[in-house]
Amino acid sequence: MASESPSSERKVVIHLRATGDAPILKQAKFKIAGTDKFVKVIDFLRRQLNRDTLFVYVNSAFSPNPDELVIDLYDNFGFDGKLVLYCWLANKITKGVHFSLPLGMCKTTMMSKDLLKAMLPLWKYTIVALQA
Amino acid sequence: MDGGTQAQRYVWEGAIPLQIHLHESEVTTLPPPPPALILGPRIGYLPLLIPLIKPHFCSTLPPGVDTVWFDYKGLPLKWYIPTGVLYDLLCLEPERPWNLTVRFRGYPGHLLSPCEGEDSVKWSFINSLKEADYVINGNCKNVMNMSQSDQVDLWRYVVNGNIEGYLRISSKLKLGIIGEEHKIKLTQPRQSKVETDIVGPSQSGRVPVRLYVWNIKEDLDELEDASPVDSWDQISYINRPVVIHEEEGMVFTLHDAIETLLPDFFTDELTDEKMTVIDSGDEQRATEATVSDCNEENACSRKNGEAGTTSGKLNQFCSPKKAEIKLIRIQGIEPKLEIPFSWVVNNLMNPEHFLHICVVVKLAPVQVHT
Repeated sequence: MASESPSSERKVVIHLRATGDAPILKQAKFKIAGTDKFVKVIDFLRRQLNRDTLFVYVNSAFSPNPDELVIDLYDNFGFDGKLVLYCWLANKITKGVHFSLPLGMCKTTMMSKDLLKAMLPLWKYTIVALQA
Repeated sequence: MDGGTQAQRYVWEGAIPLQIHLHESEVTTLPPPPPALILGPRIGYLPLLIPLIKPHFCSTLPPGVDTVWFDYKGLPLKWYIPTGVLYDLLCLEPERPWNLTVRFRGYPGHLLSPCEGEDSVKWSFINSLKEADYVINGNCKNVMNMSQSDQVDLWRYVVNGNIEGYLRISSKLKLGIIGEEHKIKLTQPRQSKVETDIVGPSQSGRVPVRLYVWNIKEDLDELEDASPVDSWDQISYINRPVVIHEEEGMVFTLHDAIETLLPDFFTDELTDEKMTVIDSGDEQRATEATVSDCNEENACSRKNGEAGTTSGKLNQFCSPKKAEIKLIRIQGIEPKLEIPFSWVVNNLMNPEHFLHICVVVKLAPVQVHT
């Protein structure tokens, strides 16, 4: 918005955390313009992790709407000068490690076990690629 | 008696008459199928209507896999925005029935996030609910700790518009925002008991708000003449909680809330922190607000404004040099700005505990940067 206060032009520091045995990104911290939408973060992580299906959670709590502005998320849910995101891969969830499975995902997971099994080697490949 | 206040029930029962046309590129039969007429609940979502619409058109569709989406005058509609909000935002002059186009092919994946029917909508709903919980309580334990059956039931009640069942479950989530004290003044004795059940004790006073700001650049006499939104870029989507400041004898009004959300559209002498005073006799009785030592000029302009139209009233609050708020619409209503914000929240919020506010703003020809 043209008349928005300068605060929305701020850059936001995103801190990416791995949960459990999820791969750790080489670059766990990155900056993004506050005026960008959350979908841009998701796309970035998709490219980094080479995955189509990805679940990104704020503070390990909820997955925001892709349209939400990064600055709004930072203002509402950020702390210590950063926004903490947790990135989960679909097959991680089949292991039932995490307690806050979103409803839709439970069902999908149950229904597409075969698909997820097929995805597992791909995931291992991703980890190797990241560690290299 | 059903649960909820009368206004809440109006919101829950509210529906938009939809006339849904199949896009001409997907018509394979002669004559083309007639449009489907259907009521879309305000608090519902468009993909939830697909099972009802599809039988109407399935015989004419070209071969292929269904990926259903809707558009209005060429604008693909975002499926995770409640139907009522889409209507309020995109139809400045309420169109009845609302003519939408349904498409079963060629999903615009670059414009809309993927939707796999009801499951996607449910997932989006629960996430919004968690987000609201986070805004209100600083965590989303309440929603996360819901039992699986409660989650399923809550969603079914939303889909079926069962406010009673919804309130029974949502009351466990402790997402009440507004304090007891204020609420009792606002509700009739008969209803206050019911409402006590559904609204928890006053907590942070933080209200989750989703704000849609449509920036109109044209210079128009009539708002209705504005050309339709052809890209979502024209609409700013802002998620900013409103903190209700309540002080003795003062009421935090819708005006105060809008001012907190969009400070740039208000004149400098009205600051974020300032309380406004209700000076109309009716509202004073209703809310028992006491007139105090507010800026006399403000009170005066407010009084004058009440006689005028909504936009005329809004103009007085806005700086003439900056952009101008032309319209504020919540659940199909253009509410008076003097209404206590707590009433607006308790009665007009959507089931995922967000208050969706549609605002139309006319940008000034020359931007003034201060």
